[in-house]
Amino acid sequence: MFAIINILYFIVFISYLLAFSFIVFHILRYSINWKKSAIMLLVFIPIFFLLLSFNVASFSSIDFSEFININFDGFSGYNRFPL
Amino acid sequence: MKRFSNYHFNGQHKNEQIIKVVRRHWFNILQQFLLFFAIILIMFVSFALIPFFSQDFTNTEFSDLFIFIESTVAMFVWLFMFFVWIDYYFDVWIITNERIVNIEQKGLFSRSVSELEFSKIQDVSTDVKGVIPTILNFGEVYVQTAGTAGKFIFHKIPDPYHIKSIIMTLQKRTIPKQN
Repeated sequence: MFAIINILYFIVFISYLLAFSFIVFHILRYSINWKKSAIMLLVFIPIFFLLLSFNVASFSSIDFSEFININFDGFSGYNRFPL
Repeated sequence: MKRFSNYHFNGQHKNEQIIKVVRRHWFNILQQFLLFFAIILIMFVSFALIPFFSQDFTNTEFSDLFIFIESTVAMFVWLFMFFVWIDYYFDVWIITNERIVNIEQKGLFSRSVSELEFSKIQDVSTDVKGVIPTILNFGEVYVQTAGTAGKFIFHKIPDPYHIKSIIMTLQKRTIPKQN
């Protein structure tokens, strides 16, 4: 279950990087003013990496076992889904 | 350093000078950004209001999940805002001393470039409709051509009357003087 969650997040992470690559490629390829393109990249790239690192850190801090811990044996301890 | 701040485009001729670079009016992109601003506002409000609903929220496992969801939404908002910006910024009309170049960014993966020489221009007209376009002075400029291209249209550009006068002035320069 944890592997599935990690794989799903990995797919989302790759999509972030693909979108980032597309935007940077577009700005560099079709620029008609290098000065303004440089300013756009200086704004976009740091904030993107800031958000990305925060996103990765927040994902790492989630304890998924708290959400998917289902005890089928009985009521020992704290059972979130009592039968 | 001057070359770094000058405008240029692919296919520009050696002695071709760029007279004006025209983009859509800022009000057009503001309308598209309103949704993103609303989402950002909701995010900040949710951060502020959560303690009122659950004072012990930060000690629960849901707080980490909430922060992750908020950061994911922030990431998507940032990326989509730049997609919208690219669609706006790279949609441009370039008026040079030789021709008008229309670079049209259609969505994310489609781009078309068309050009129109001044000698092919038959008529130029403007159209400003509505309260907000009248107040903010933006509208359409229609350039009627002699060729198969038909009309060349500048959409939602600022100060269309000034753009029309520029095109007309440049077009008159191409008319050969009759002795």
